[in-house]
Amino acid sequence: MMTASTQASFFDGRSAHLHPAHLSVGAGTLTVTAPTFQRSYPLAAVALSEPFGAAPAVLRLQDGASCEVPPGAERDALLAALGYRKSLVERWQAYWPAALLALVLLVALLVLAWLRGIPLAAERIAERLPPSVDVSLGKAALAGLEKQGLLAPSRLSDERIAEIQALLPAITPPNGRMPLRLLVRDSPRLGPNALALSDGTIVVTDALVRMVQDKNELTDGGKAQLIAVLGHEVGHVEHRHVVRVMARSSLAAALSASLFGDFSAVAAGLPAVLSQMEYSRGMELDADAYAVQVLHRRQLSVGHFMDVLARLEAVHDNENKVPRWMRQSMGYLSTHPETDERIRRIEDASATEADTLR
Amino acid sequence: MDDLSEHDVPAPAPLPLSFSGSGAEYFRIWIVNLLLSVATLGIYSAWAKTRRLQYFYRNTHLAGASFDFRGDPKAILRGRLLAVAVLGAYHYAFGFSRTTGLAIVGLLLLGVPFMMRSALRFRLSNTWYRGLPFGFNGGIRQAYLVYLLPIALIVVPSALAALAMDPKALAGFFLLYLLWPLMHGAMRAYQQRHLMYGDQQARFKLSFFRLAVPYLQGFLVSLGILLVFGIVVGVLAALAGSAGGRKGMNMSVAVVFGIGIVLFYLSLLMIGPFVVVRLNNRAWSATSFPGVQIACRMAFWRYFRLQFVNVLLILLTLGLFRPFAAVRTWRYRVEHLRIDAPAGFEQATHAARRRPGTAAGDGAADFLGVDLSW
Repeated sequence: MMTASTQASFFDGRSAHLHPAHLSVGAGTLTVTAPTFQRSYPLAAVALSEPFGAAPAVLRLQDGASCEVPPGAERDALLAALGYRKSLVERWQAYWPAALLALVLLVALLVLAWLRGIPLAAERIAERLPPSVDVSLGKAALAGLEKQGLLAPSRLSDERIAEIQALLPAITPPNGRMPLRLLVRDSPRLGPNALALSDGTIVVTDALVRMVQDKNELTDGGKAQLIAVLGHEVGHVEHRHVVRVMARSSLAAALSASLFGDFSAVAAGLPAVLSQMEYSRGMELDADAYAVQVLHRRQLSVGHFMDVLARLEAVHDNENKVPRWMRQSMGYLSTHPETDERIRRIEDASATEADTLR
Repeated sequence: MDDLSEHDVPAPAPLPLSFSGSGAEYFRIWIVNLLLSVATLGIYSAWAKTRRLQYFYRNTHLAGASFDFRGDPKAILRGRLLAVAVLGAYHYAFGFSRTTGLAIVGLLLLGVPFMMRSALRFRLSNTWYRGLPFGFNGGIRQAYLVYLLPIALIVVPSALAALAMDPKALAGFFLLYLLWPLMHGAMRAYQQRHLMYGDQQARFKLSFFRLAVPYLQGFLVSLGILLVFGIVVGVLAALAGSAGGRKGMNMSVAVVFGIGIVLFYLSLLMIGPFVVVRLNNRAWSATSFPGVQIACRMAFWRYFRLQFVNVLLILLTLGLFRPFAAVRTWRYRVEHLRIDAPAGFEQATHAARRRPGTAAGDGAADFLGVDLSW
């Protein structure tokens, strides 16, 4: 059994009086000797807490009393005699290289969490969310777009709108996740565009319809081009991209909030997250592949899809020169991968599809 | 820190508080805490918080003794989990339905004042000095009186926005923000008035109106700067006009205008630290315990310079300066407190067992950005 002794301040826990005292450890006992009293405690009755460099160590005794032991070699000897073992964390933070290693590990962990952890966790969460979440998210998104004045009633003729609505069966999958709904809306700011909302609502802009028209007529070719674009949007709905993106960006917001202590992004709620939403590149390519399937099902040429992509590219060409963060549309081309690459992939996909059909 | 202290030997001069920690030492604690918190998805953060408070408290000395924090990390963890759940519910409430949203908002309005009071009780009853705990005995009714309106200011506008209310009604609601200085004063007075040390009850001799004065002062100074700058620009512009719009004159108007804008923004930046300094000085200097006077004498310019350097270095080091900044700020605050206890602290004794309060509020207060330690 080790023995050690040191000077300390003793507090009885009943008054604020400071008793200068002498502490000694020996034979399994801590003895406190003050000018007016002496007390003994079995070592099991002494609770130790982490001693910091220049701060007094605090010994808490079973009867509510406590001692403050000033730093120094005598204190270290006393703590050793009391059987104090430094925890792993204490040893870690006492040693500079280890502390700096913590910094390196922290950065590595954050990068890993951001690139891998969040997408993985988001997928798991999205899988568990009930379809009612898709519905309320879609409603909220549509209400938000209308409130911002981004979507106004269509200026196209009723006849034309009816023609477009008639395309709905052509794009509706046999065993779809949810019923689809097609809306035609005027939106000068979005330009030729189509949006998929998570509740199965697909919005087509007037400008897109005008773009695929030929001499003010909606020809079969124009309809096929619309089917290609709508098929892409149905792909987003069928693959549940909105909910997956929402889960991902919410997690990212929560992570950055806990790092930087700024919870405004989390507290700002859904509308803020929605307005910043964008699909990942992989999601866009999935939706493209889906559109190709739709075209095949209707026995339409994939060429229509490539045509419409090329025309969209031409229209949005100017917009693409604007830096990403300045673009307003949350729609079609702003988040889409390079058109050339998409067309190449669509060709590949349609070749494979044709093989399997044969 | 809320303290009062006393001396064994009657001392004629007020006693200073001192701080023995260092930025380099705290940096190592901080970085390990941060790594473990991230690696455990935030669970360790409760232990990290305990360790941080212990570091700061135990290194703070007064009259030969140190402060200590004895909170249970598990209680803090429960509080944090609750806070995350509440924030999450608030985040998505209106996404589910109007009813859910309103229910959550109602729950927040009812719950947060209660949690704020619990937070004060938890924090103070776990702060020890000379073997005795501090405490907080503010009543629940006053907690609602004091905290309900500020919470409503945070929660209700977003709820109204979610319910697609008329923007004009919202604007009216925002006018209530003008009352913020009074609300802050009331919260602070509530915190100070109900402090306890052992069985000793604090006295607080200011009304909350007087605590709002620093805001008014800050506002008037900014307004004064704006006014002076307006007059100078006006005079120069008039001179330039009468001089036939000479190029040199126009230039000087533009330069003065530019300087004025910078000065105005600087004055806005300074209101924050100004209010912190003056409010703290007022609040602590008006707080006393039987036989113990407290004086807080922070100086605005020095505190502003300190925070300015802190922010600058935190930005330049991508956040790595944060632990150093925390130590610098704490040391400055601690070293500008004086405790005058001519008869020592002897009269404080352990109060009859009080309930320690739960940590739920403490965790929530962290998330709401409420600084409870001061």
